[in-house]
Amino acid sequence: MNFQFTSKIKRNLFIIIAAGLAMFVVGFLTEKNHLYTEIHSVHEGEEGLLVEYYKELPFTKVKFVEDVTVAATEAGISVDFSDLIELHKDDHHGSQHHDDFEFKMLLTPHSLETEGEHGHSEAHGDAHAEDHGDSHAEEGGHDAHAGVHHTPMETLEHIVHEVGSFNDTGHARTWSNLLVNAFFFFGIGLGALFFIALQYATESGWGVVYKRILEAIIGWLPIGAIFLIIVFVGASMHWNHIYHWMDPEVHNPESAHFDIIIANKKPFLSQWFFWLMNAVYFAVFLLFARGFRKRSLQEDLEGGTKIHMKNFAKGALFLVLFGYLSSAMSWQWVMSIDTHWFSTLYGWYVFSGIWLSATIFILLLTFWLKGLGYLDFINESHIHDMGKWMFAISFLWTYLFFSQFMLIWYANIPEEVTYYLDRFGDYKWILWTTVAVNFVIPIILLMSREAKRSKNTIIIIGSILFVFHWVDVFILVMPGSVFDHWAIGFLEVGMFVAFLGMFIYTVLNTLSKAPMLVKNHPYLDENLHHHT
Amino acid sequence: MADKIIYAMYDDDDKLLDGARMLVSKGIHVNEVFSPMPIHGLDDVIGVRHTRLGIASFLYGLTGLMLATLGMKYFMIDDWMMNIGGKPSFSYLENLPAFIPITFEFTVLCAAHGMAITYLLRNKTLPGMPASNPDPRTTDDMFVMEIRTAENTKYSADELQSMVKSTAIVELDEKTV
Repeated sequence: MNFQFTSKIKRNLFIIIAAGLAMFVVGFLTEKNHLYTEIHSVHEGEEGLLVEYYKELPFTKVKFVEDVTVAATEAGISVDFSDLIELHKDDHHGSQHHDDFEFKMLLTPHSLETEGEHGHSEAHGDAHAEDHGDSHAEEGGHDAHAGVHHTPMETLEHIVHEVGSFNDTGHARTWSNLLVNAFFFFGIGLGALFFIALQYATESGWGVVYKRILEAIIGWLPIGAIFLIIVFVGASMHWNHIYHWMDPEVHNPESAHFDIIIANKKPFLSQWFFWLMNAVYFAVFLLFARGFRKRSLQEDLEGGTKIHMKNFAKGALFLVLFGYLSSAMSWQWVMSIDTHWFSTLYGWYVFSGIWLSATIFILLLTFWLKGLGYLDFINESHIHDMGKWMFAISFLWTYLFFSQFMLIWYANIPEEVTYYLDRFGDYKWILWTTVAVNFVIPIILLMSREAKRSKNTIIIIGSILFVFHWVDVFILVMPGSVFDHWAIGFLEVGMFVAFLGMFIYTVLNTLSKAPMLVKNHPYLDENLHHHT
Repeated sequence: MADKIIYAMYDDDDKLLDGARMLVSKGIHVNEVFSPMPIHGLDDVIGVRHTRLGIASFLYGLTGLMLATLGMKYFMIDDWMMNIGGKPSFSYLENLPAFIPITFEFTVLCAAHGMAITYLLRNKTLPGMPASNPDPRTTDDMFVMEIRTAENTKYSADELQSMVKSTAIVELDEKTV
């Protein structure tokens, strides 16, 4: 029986896509950017706020200094400004055209009431009036009941984000989110492709009933590839700046932005190699996907074991290629965003996330289709087996996350820890929430045999893990591309929902084109009586 | 009345499974099956309760986790403060990543050993223990089903025997306890 892709389901999916797009448009139009801020220690015990931006701004430095001074005085802080571009110019020549866009200042805050002493300034202007009346002796007691208190540095950072905020013409968040979603959903297709190749190569019998669902998910690959190519073309044409190494200035020894580390890796971090490898990735993935699908449909008609043995050989070949390509792919597409940093098990980490997302999606889709009465041949044992994968890969993911983190934490080498410093700074809560959710929820709630067979448990836990593995990809991409300017708002949610709608539409469309159960697979009969 | 044990021998696991299904459908309780390998679906047919070995394993794992944590806290932080990878914070929590691999390994060690020993004890199959299977051929290529008359009081011993004979057995043996 074929899946009936009814107009009602189509309409609902269009509503989801439209709602996602509407949210995205709202987010896109209100996308704000602000100056980059970073706390630097200046002298012994003294800290300054480094404020930077490298593109044209809608306000001048003079205006910025005036506005910050006014706002800071209201908050009870005096600020010293020093323009670092002037200092910079003395050292370097030959990059004049860039200086028009450069904005680099060091702001050093001093609390007005307690000169040189940090931690006692009141952040809010309205409460500030009272503060003047208080004596220093009472200030400690005041701190205890006044609620939120900020250091002068935090207050200043807040002011800079307010004053230095402007509409983002570079649309960094939109581009980065496009990469997050394109990669996440392409990854699900890729995970399904890997899974089907794994089952062919190992001649597995347990998953034959899932074959058409896997093939349907693989159907997203060509469309997912288009979205990825849009992001990559945008990066190559400098419409977006996700990949820092694509900027020719960093390879130019004459430029003030020359980066010796990136320049030394030119053979790897270059446009031609990037595109050459992209051609290899897409060619291999799409050709194998097409071949597996074609032979699967052919097997329905012809039978015999010839096609089965061919799938066995092709599956094994794909696994070998995938082993190399999935790692290299994640280095070029995702890891090179944090250009200076590298990790050899990064590819496995990304792959484990891909595989898990695919497994969860297979389970959720199976339950939905079972609810519609299509998959009566999938019994509890099949569900249990797929549930075991979901349980197991969750720990593969946690294991790889921890292995990567622990080695870097232990060695504490500056060139390695930068990656985690970025994430522990502005992404601290979202990172640890993701790790906790993706580890603790499966280990506690999915351990028992009954949980892996229960529809409700798997749907609830699966949905949570699915969303948090999207967040995981978000944390892979964002810290290196939008730095501290991340948010999860209309833009992010809308784009995710729109992608999800398109993804499900494509999957169901592919699913409707072939019978839900394969015919003539050598292990079909064994699998229909599957029992664990 | 003396308890009689009927041993029905089969030469194929599917034949045994079909026989067991037939007997169970008539309300006969199959006490035990001796087989050289696991037979899929047999547990449900003869009504074997689901094993609690998993729960035991979880508890052994928890024990290992606690022992490892307490041990390392005492050895590395309290008794003799260790400088861990150049991070002399002398705090278990701040050096937690360094302790996790050992915690993990010890958890697995305790869970695996505890589970294996429990399994052997529970089945009375510790090395050197007398074998409990009725016929040595059940460790090779034969399958034996055990039915006790005391558990099937609604049929007489003869009725039970004739019903067992109607399945695809190759040998029938009887023992009085």
